[in-house]
Amino acid sequence: MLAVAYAFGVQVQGLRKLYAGGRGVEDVSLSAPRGAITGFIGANGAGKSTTLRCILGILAPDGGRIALFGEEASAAARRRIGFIPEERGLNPADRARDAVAFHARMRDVPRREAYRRADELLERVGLGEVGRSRVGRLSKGNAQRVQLLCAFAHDPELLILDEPFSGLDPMAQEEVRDLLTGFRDRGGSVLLSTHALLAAERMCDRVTVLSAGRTLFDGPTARALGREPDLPSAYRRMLERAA
Amino acid sequence: MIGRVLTLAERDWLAQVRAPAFWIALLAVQALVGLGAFGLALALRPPVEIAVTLHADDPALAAAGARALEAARAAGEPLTSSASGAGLNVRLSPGLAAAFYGSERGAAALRPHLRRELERLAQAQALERLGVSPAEAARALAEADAVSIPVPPPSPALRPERLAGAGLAVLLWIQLVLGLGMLLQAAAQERANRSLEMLLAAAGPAEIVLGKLLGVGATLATHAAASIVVGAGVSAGAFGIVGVPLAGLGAGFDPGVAALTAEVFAAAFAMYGTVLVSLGVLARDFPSAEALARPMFAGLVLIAALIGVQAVAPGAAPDALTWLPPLTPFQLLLRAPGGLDPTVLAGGLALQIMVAIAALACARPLFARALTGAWPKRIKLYNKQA
Repeated sequence: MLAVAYAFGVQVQGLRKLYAGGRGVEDVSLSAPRGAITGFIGANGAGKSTTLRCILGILAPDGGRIALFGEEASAAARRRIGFIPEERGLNPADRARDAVAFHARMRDVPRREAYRRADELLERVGLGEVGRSRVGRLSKGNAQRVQLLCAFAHDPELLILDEPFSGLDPMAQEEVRDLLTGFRDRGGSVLLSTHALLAAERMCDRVTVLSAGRTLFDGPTARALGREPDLPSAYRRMLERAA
Repeated sequence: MIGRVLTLAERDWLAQVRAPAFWIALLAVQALVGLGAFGLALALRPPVEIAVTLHADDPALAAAGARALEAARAAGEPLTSSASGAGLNVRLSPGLAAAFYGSERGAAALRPHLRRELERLAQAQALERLGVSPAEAARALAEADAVSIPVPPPSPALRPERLAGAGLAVLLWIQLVLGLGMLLQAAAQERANRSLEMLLAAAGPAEIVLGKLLGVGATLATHAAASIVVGAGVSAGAFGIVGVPLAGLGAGFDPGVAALTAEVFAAAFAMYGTVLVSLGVLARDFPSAEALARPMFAGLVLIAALIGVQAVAPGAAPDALTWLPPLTPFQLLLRAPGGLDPTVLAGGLALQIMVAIAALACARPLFARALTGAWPKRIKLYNKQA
């Protein structure tokens, strides 16, 4: 990871993105600092995925500002992001190491370096022996691990994860948690979109709460809790106040 | 951008060439090439003259038979056979009857000439019986024979360059159907495998479309190259076994037409391919991708019919069809071997490239639609710095 002087991996201010059907986001602001895991919380349809897609440059915002690594978002900056979408999958015909290396190469990592990193990552999570197996022949858990490694393959500085725990068995969830905390401890930024509020409370240093396309709260987890015993209660209180 | 396009192309190319189906298809093509080569070699095998034996009790009959044989040979009748040792026995009876034993092909070729000679013999014998001298009878019969039958000129539809053009258009049609099927699969698989969003986070829609196009294009090129190399070997083997020399088969090869054909093939693949990938990404799975592509393939079936009509009836379709984009490559190829106006060629290629660029521009909102299930309120370019 590069030692670059910036305080936030990503900062969003007043983001607006509308669809023809009326869905989208109206006014979203959030900050994901370096060396922290930021939980991105909201009900289905609140606008989490739309916000993440705007940050990643997949969709063009209608308004607002997105800064990555302290600068205006650009294609070059976006290549420093590792992303795991909610809807996950890999080409079953790809070999595991090819799949991991492919995602690194798509972010401008040279071919040889990409394969070196792929082999290293696969070894690190105990999948070294299945590196040459086709993804379609791996067990579901191993395929999910390979998918996670794809996000790490190019040594990103910001990780954006959309529901990373969904569909994972408890052991794989624990592995993801270890990967994320390790990444944070090395100075990386993590933006974690999730419905698992208790898990978010345990892992996240900050939370951003979204409802109906608007930000209700953006700050440290401790401040989000206030006097409430846990994050689910605090979340309900925020929704009631917004209503 | 180029690096990402090439990385994507390499992945799709490897996915295709590593699949057993690719090699099975290649072997199937080679088996067909081998069969075709054997058939061609057999057809091109130098024919052997049929040994004709005349049996006649009467010298006049024997002379008539010999004249008929000479006339048949002079007229270029097929008195030859691919089967070595073929023979024909002809028995001529004093009652001016003929019986044939042996090669049916030879009998069919000889029969009209023999009938004519026997008729002349009968006429001469009748004139002699009436007291006409043999010399005068021969002169009178020769005058009666001086009837010229006009030979019709070959139909324009059968002109070799017309057939070559139709052949090239059919070849493009086959390549397009094969290539577009592969492209459709490559486009639909990203959504079917649920990997589209992850891909879009790394590359723009135009890069993805171009990567898919190059990947499948490289697969087709690999297939074609392997087919040519292995096919040439198989053909050489087949010709060697049958005993026909290969020399002279490439005499009709025209490098200019080959280069022009390659240009038209590339432009046609780019045009049809960009449209198909851009639309194909809307499909949730392979069956819905096939349903989406059905109109395009139905259009290709109509185009095949149009090629057939133009091959047998030139001028049946107006030249203006060249400027209808789906037909442009086929119309160019139909006219290529006979000589194509360079401005028409340049215009046709430019038209196809413009359609491909327009399809690339449409890929952006189509990919957004594929991902979000909704059209953006205002369609804006995204990932424009990518």
